[in-house]
Amino acid sequence: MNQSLYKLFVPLAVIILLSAVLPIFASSSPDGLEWVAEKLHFAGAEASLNTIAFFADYTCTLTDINLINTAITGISGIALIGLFSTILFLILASASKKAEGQTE
Amino acid sequence: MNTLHKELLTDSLIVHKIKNNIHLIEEVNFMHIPDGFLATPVNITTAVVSAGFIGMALRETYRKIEPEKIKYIVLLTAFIFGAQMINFNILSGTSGHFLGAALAAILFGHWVAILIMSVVLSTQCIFFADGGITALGSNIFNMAIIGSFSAYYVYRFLLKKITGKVLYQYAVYGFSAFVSIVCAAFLCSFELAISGLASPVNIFANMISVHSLIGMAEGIITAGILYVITLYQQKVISV
Repeated sequence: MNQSLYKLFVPLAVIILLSAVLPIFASSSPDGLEWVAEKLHFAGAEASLNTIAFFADYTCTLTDINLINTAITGISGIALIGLFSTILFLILASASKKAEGQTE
Repeated sequence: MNTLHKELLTDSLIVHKIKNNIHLIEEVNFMHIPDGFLATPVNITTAVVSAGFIGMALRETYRKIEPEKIKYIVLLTAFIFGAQMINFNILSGTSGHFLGAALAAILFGHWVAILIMSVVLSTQCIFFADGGITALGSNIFNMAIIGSFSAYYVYRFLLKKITGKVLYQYAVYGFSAFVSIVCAAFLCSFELAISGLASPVNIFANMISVHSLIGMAEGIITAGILYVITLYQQKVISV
């Protein structure tokens, strides 16, 4: 395997494992903010205005099997994040390179 | 008999789907500030301030970005997203999750960390309904901006003070991550309090106490990840 690909393979495998498999074992207890909101009785103020979220609350209903739904959600998430961050930082690097070229 | 069999099969499928849905409902929780919690002036103010900081982060990153680091920045962004999906129990009936702002700030600096965290929080908000759309500015301000800035400056300040043992260095990483969580929780408490959701004293006391525990876990995880990255760099990347 190409050395530079190998360097990226291990971290990528860890990320896929983290996003697609481990969330199955995540605690379903309320998190810090939710716990405080319930304790101080303002949890009811929550109003969801997002009606377009395809993976609302990190789940999807593409199959009847939760394990598969979780894996699909996790892998889709890292694909989206990978896409957006690649675009953002490549644009910044390309603009930076152009600016350097103009000043030289 | 055949009809009865079909009915039973349909019934069992319905029961299975209901059970699945109950499981999903039980897992619904808001990791970030949802819509409806903060007053409109708070949402607008934090959105404007966050947009300003993101603009500054874009300018600073544009000036200093090293193209060969982009692949690692993208990997870290995906890692933070994945790690945030895993809630761990901290007390009976309460959970927390890794934030990652300190990790990003220590590895790539606070400006890049702001952009990394903003990508994660915006994607979570739009595609995963994690954090309200109206509260996105607050979530970015608390977790991306305050989380990254506080960790970065604490880490830079303390790292200059320590000498010698590598263990101290990892203690600094952990402490910076702890500070980032407590600072983000402090700002979040302030926003909740001025939105008039409950008594400010109660909000601050509960938020800071529970997030101090989450911060300790964040510190241990951050130091642990940085140790693994250092080992990986020495054994694989430098080969």
